[in-house]
Amino acid sequence: MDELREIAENLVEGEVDKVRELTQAAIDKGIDVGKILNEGLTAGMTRVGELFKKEEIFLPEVLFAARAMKAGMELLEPLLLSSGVVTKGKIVLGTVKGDVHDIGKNLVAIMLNGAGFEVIDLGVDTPAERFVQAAKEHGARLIGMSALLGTTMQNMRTAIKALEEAGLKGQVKTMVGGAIVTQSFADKIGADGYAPDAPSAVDKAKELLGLS
Amino acid sequence: MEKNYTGRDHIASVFGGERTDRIPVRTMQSFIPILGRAGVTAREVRTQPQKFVKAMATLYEIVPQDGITVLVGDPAMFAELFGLSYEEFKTRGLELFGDKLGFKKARLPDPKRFERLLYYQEICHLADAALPEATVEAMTVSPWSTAMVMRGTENLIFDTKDDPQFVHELLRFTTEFAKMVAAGLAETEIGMLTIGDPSAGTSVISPKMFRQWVKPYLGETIDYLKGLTQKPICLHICGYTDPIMEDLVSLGVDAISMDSPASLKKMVELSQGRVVIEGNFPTELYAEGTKEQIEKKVKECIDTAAKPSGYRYILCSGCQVPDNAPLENVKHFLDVGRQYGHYH
Repeated sequence: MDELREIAENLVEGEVDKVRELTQAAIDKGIDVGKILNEGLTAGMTRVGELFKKEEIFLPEVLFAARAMKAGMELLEPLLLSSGVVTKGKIVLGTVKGDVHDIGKNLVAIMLNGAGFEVIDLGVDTPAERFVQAAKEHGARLIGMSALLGTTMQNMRTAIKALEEAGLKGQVKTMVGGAIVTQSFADKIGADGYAPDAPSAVDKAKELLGLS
Repeated sequence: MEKNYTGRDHIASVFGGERTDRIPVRTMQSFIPILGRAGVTAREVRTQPQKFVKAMATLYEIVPQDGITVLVGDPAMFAELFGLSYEEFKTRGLELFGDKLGFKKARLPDPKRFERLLYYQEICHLADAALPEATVEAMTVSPWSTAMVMRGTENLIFDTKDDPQFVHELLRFTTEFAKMVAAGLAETEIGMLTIGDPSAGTSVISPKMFRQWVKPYLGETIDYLKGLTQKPICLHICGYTDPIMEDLVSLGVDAISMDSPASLKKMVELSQGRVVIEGNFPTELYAEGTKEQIEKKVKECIDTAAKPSGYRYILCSGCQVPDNAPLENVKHFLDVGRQYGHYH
């Protein structure tokens, strides 16, 4: 469908006003909202992920695309809820205690949202107990944690321990990321998954939840 | 008879001085974790140059190395640009930074009266006297990363698309600021001046963005400094820099300090001895690594860069050592580096 391909192409280019306009036009035309999401916005964001992995685009282009995605989602979300579209699951996201860096986390939130997950974003400087509390409260299936500093990444370990003590390890998966985080560190602290960047985080989330 | 070289000798040797008997070895490291051992408080080091240098000297005593860094730039500097006290800036800083029009309130001070610059100049002067065997390096601010701190990373990236005129105005201000601060530091007795540009690498921006927004203003700053001083000028950029390595070398700095995500091998091959290479030991190994892992990585860095670069190489942490890193790990890194880095 040309309209949806145009949405995807403009999303890849980060044209936020165009994506908003085209998404509204698709809605007004009566195109199924699930189709607009999957073949328009999500398709565009998937392409962004592919280009990013091949180093054909970098973080700024992903940010521009994510901003355009968010604009489209703002129009679709109320319609998705009312049409009973079921999300793939709930994911709690946050930057760990003591850390206020959030670009990566924000990107992951937008991309997970676009991939059909419901994201509960706890923001920055999130204590371990807050992750666990939010996971319980919202029935989340996955907790994603971000850290940029050598000192704060230790708080990922604390959060995973808190999850264990709450009896939720195994029921709720954990995924970690951030510039200084590595697979080796993730393995050491008992995280279920690690993602080096936002596009990979979506793939990893799907894998951890048996959706890939 | 064997000559006892100092850290200053080792670092000077890679910049064309008399050849010594091994590669230089050092870290970029904060003294925050050892404030207690130094008998100083955070407030004291922030306000009293002698206390700052006491903390540096204590760190040097614990982990002696060939160079030691004075990290220049703090909220107090920005406070002065906006004509505020440090305490006022702590409450109002975010508000000022979030407002595009708020930047119009910032003013470049007279360098002779810029209190924060005078403070750091005094530190450099005292450090040179207190640490006669180590090269004192001042790591100063850059146009792009200063603009990112002032505006916020996401905001500035969006501004490049939504309001490029504003970005040029902001970068003009931060370039004049960066030039002023660096020139003031170059007047002191430091042995090396490093421009720290943590947000200019391709972990944060694209190569296209680097060439359009960072390179012109950074290049202007470097050219200005080269006209002012004979001291070695180094450039440190955090994160991944492989796509812009040729751009970095072409800026004409004397040394490039690399972080661990970048390829040391690629930089050695590409630069062909045109620049001294520093780095790029992974910082997470100081905090999480075993002694065996540290040793293996040190040897890998030296094998990759020392002889292949014509010994124009300084073994160094890729970025700042994490504050929670056990100092025994840092010491082990330095010991292995000095031993394995001996010229044969």
